[in-house]
Amino acid sequence: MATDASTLKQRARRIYEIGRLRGALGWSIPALILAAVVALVVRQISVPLAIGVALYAASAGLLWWGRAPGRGVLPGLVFGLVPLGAALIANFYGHACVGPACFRVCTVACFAGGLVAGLLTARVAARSPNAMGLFLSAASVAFLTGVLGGACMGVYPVIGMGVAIALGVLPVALRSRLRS
Amino acid sequence: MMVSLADGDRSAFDGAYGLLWPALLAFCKRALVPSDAEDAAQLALLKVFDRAATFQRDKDALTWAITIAAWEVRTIRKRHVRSRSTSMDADEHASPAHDPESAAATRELVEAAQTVLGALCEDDRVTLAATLAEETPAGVSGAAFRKRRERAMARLKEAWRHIHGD
Repeated sequence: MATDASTLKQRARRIYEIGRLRGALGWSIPALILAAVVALVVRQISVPLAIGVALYAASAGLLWWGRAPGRGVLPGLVFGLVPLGAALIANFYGHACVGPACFRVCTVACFAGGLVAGLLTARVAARSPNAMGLFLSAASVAFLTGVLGGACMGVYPVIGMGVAIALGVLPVALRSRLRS
Repeated sequence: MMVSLADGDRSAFDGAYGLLWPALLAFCKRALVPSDAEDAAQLALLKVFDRAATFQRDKDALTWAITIAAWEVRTIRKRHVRSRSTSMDADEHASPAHDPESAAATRELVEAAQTVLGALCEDDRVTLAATLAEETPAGVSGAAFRKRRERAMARLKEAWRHIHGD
């Protein structure tokens, strides 16, 4: 069993990376569960499944990488539930009627949910030493989480959600500039 | 350093490796023969890095690593005890003159005590040594020493339980 020092170090490094990857794959499973729940709710499999796999891969990759991007996964997933919830509600009750005219409010709901998620993410990111890294990671995860519910409604709700979440970058950038 | 490593900071790897490997090897050498000690230390080191991502920042890294090493020591020692009892069963010509059983038991007890004491910090060892010598270290009040002794005994029991079971 005795191994020379450099081989042992290389093995230790490889095992460290494998350990990180195993942990990341395990901790990302809630993303798949969430996708399965959304698929059941919207009674559609292909879109939530595809986005769920992308969300799982993104979470696993970010968690494996660690540091600020890794720390952004959990807040991203949690805050992403806001646009996801908004999109699901809009999907089922997405009409606003003014007199005889009725409008679908999916894009507005997705935008509002995305804006809340973006601001919450920015608030968490602002406390981190690497605010931008954490924000980008958390915002990506939040976006993918929100898209789980919004994708089945078309492109515009998804774009609205993405733009709204991205608006959260403004307070983060402003704060970073003030700090420096 | 382990906290940085758990967070994904790869630049902490070399430092953590450089600190852990000699510490684990020294610990295992105190408990096992050199060839077994190296095997145990290597296994412990690999397990430490395998679990590095889940290391909790409120824990003491060295104690955590030594606990893992103690498990490896225990596993190797158990393996030896098993193989020894198997070979003793097979040996029909064992000489009763030297009472090998009691000699082996004494040696095992001493080794076990060394392993457990090796897992404790320097302060605990000093406290336990003073307790055995029925002394109170200079500059420490009786009440403070009693508390220290209590904590050291608790850690001694915990270390014994970790290494040798209940």
